[in-house]
Amino acid sequence: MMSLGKLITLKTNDNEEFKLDKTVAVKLEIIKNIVQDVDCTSNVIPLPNIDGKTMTKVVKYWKKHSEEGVTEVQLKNFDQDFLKMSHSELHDVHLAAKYLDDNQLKEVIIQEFLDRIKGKPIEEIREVFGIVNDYTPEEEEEVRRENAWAFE
Amino acid sequence: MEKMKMKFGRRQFSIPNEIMFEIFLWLPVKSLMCFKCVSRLCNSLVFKSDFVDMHRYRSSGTKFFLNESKAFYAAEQQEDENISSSLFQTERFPAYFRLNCANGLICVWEPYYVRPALIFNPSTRKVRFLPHPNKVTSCGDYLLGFEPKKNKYKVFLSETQRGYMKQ
Repeated sequence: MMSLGKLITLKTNDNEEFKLDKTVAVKLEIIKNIVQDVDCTSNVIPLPNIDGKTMTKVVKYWKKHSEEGVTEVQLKNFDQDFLKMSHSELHDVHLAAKYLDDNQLKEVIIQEFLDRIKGKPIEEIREVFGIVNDYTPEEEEEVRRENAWAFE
Repeated sequence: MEKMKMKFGRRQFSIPNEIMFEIFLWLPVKSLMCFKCVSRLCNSLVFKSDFVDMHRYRSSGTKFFLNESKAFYAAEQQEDENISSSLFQTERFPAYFRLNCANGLICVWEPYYVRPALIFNPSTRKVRFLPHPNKVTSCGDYLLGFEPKKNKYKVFLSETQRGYMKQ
C-alpha cells in the first residue's frame, strides 16, 4: 500500500523540523502508533527527547533503508559508513532509537558497541563507555589475577 | 530529560548503567570476566542476580561437559551466524571421578570423602567446596538439583543408609 506524497513532520527538541514521507516515518514504531491514532499529515509530531543532530542520523538511516530496489550489499556498505561516529554520538543514536521504539536501529547500534569492545584491552573499553577507573592499581591487579584465564 | 539537556553543554561522556547492562547481555561470559577489571561498577553489574538470570536465559550456546581422569573439559557450541564449537580445558580436579550437573553448574566428588566435594561453574570457572559430611565411615553420592521458582541450587547427599538435604 503506497501513500506517496503524504509527508509527516517531526520536530526535535532544538526545533529542527524533519519532513518525512509517511512510508519512511512509519518504520519508527512510535510514529507508526501516533499516525494510526490521529491524522498527522497536517500536524507536527514533537520529539522532546531527540536533538536535530541525532535525528539527522536516524532519518538518514531510514531513508536509505526504505529506498526502493536497494541491494543488500549497498545497505551493508551504507551501514558501515553510517556507524563511523564517535562513541558519544553512537550512544545518542542508541537513545534516540530506544525512544522511537526502533528495534532494528537499536540492534545495529548495540552490535557496533559490541564490535568496539570485543577483544579490546580494558583501557579501550573504558574509553568506549566513558568509564572512570575507580580501582586502585593493587585492586585492579588482584581482579585481573583472579580472572587471568579470561584474558588468554 | 536532564541528560538530554546536558548534551548541549560540554559534558563528560558516559554511558548510563542500564545501557551497559543491555550491551553486556550480548557478551559471552569470558568477555564479562575481563570486564570485571574495567571498574567496580562493572564488576558488581556482572554479578547481580537479575543480570545473571537474564544473561543465562538469552544465551543460545549449548554446553557439553567431559570429565577425563585428570582434567575437565567443557565444549561449547555457539549458535550465532555460523555455528561454531570450542573445546577447552577448564580445571584440573584430580581423583574426582563422579559428576553430576544441573542448570549449568557441575558437582564433582569422589565417593569416599577423601576430598570435599565441590561445585564448579564452567562458564566463570568458579569453584565452591561443599562442607565435609560429619560421618566419614560410609561412602556416598551427591546429586545436584535446581529449583527454578526460588532460583536455588540444592545438593542431595545420599549415603549408604541415611540421606540429608542441603542447599
